[in-house]
Amino acid sequence: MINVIRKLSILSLLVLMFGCKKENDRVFEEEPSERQAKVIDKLYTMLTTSENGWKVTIYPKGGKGFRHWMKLKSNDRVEMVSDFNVTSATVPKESTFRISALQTPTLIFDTYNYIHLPYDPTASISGGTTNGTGLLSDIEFFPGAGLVDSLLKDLPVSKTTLIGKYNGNYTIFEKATAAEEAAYKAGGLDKTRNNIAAFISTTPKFLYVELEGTQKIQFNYAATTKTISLSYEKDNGVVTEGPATFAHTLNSLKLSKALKYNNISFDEIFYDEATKVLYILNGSNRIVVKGTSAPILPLHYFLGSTGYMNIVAPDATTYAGWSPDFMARRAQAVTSLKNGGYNLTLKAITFGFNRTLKTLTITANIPQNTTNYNALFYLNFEKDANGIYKFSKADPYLGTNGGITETGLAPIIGNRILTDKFVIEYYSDPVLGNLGMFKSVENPDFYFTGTIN
Amino acid sequence: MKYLNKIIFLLFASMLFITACKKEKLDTSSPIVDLGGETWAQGPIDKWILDSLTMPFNVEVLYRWNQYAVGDLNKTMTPPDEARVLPLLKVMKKIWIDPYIIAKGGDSALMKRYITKQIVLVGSRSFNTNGTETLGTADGGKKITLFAVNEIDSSNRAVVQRRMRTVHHEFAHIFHQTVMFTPDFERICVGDYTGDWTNQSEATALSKGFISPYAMSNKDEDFVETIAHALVYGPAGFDSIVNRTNDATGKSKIYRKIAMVKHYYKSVWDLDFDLLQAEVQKALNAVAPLPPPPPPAPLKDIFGFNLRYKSLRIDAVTTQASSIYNTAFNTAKAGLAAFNNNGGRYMDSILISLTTADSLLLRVRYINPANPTSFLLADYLYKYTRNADGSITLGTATSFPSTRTTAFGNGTTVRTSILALLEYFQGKTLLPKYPSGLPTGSNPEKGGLYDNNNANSFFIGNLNDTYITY
Repeated sequence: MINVIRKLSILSLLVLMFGCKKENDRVFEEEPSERQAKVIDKLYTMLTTSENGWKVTIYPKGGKGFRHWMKLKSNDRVEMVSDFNVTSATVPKESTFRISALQTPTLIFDTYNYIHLPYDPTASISGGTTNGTGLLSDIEFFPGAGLVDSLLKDLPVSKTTLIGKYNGNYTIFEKATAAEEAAYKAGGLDKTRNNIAAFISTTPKFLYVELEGTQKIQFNYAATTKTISLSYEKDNGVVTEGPATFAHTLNSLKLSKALKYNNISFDEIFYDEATKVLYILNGSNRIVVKGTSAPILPLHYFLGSTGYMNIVAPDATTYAGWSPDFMARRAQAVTSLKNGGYNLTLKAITFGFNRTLKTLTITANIPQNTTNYNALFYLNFEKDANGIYKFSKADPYLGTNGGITETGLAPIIGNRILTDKFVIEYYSDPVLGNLGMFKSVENPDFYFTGTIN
Repeated sequence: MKYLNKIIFLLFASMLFITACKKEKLDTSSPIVDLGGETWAQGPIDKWILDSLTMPFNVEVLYRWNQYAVGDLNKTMTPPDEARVLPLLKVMKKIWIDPYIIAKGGDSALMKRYITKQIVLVGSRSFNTNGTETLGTADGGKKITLFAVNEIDSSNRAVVQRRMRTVHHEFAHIFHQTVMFTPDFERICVGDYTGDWTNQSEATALSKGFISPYAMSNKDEDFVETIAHALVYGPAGFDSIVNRTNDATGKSKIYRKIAMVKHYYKSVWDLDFDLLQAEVQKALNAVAPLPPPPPPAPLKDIFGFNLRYKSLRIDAVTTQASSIYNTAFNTAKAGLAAFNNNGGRYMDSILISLTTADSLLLRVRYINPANPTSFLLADYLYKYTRNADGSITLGTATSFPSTRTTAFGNGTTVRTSILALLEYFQGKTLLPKYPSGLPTGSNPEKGGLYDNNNANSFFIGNLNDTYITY
């Protein structure tokens, strides 16, 4: 009997072990596919029930920024306008969209519209530099964990971020109002584009803002790359804040990130249509963008960099910004070179700067009858904290034809450039524009200018 | 006791099986998302696809963006613009699907069986890392993908031909992958196939007997390229491509290939290739017709000094002239007959030749009956000006002595006899015109000179492209 009981108990144990019904422990209440179906459903509802559509802002990884206004409808159709170009800003276009399951619920703009333009691999369409990548924008988007959570909790969403599937662009979706919808569909984005363009063309060339006090902070606006940055002097150098890319809105340029200067931080630049004023808001304070015809940052910060490599004193007897002493000295040099045994004609003198190597190469154009020649001189320079230059001979100093022209050019080079300290700054001429000017510190009656290139 | 053990054992064993094998029921309450494929609200495009492609041919068209359908998860591409989809699909149906059915007498069984079950449309271009672009791909007979759909202008004949060439090319692969063509095909160009086909020019390919550089890559591409070019460019178009080379051997190789293609279609698929080709061309002409040829130039633009037609010859017995001209002519004719005491000279023909930019030769050819086999020529020179409307205003007839030429000498001699004819031309403004308004294509072409100031005064002759015909 005990044997029977023993066997029975062993067998019962075995039965219990194998017979136990397995329980599933779930983190969420519903099955994964059920949860996904809910997210898709609620995302679809969220997108299609914004009666006045959405303001969508994207700053593609390949550059620029774009604002699309779009209305997604429950028949899987979407209407949109965009600040991409004039057509997209003025002609609303319809296409389709869907929300796909894939690995995660994905909003796909699945037939062509303006949102595809910056994504298009053909460079001439998207504005990219090479074919194959577009501007690294996105046309498929999925909701992040935060949005998924809000959707499942049925919380109202008026502003959210969707993430681009292929290039990861964080794209902002914000509900639009009825007034905004009307304005977008009436070409509001084109109006902003035109307003900004008109402002730039009617304002003097060098833009600045006085963010704190009266120091002019240079305001750099580039329409082709849709970027904005700030430049200002600090610690004997030039500091650049940014760039940030921008998208047009109905009344502003919205930046991809905030630009900061001391305590001031801003990520939007507004345009007041009534007063034709472009301004930054600091609290309730308007800081207006102004313009001046003279460059804001001193020339010496840029001399020797691209666009500022040379100052060219032209072949002339008189010129804007030339002192009488310089003109006389130049005339001396002309005579000297003519009668110096080689019958040379002094034409333009080019001062070529290299700010990395701290060198100055002087090239004097000295044709002999109809044959062209140049004379070269190699100098080094030191620039002090105040931007004052001191030149000295390099080793070797005399380049081609330097030896035979050294004496002739002494009134300018040997007796002034090599001996004196110089301020080199902008000289604004109403006709010739901004020239580069050499001003001797020791001999203030010696100063001259040249074109900058 | 033994039996009891066994019974208990068996009892528990069976209980073990029963509990361990208790199956969980399938929970069908949780949805499987997109089971059966994605769906969306159907629009007119979807309806056309359903009615014209899916229901009759079981073909699915993927035009709404799906990166997985395109097959390359790393390429940046976009969907097509809705407006481009149906025009392209309709063209594909007309120029690819329908001809195969019509050529089979309306029997769609062949097409239904072998048509690619998926057509994928990509809006943007497809750029490859080596700098080339792909216009279309076929996936083992199951899928045809067309790229750059947003750039297809369905009314542009050249564009349509290029794209349909891709479609026909890919579809032809399905045929030979089902039933291979004769090994004799490959022998035509044996040794000339090359992997370096991307660097071969069309001229090289044609001279070696290949319809295109791509055909040089292997025998299969050679076969389908020959088919695609023949179908899409038609017999005349195909010939004109082949005639871009002067290499007779190359040409004959291509024609041997097309003959094998035709034989293959007939013997394997019971398809008349010529008929198929004709149907493709008919559809192409309906979709994207050739532009009409430009109208022929009016005669006034091509008749004159340094122009196509340089002279006009009027035979003496002409019925194509106004009575005013005929009167002048007959008077001159009578005068000439009376010359030299009724010597009976008679006019054979008149040549009007615009020999320089400002002077015109009137040459009268006549015969002296005393020497009936030789012709005499009498020349007269008229100064003329060309007017803006293309007409010619003549001055007076100038004669020269025989020291200039014998013909001018003769002209002086018989001048008074045929004065009526000379005076007919003097001071007239004549407009060159085709009698019917258009060239007839006859040889020689007929042309007329019409008095600008009198519609009842004109004459018609034969146009020549040389200054002097005698």
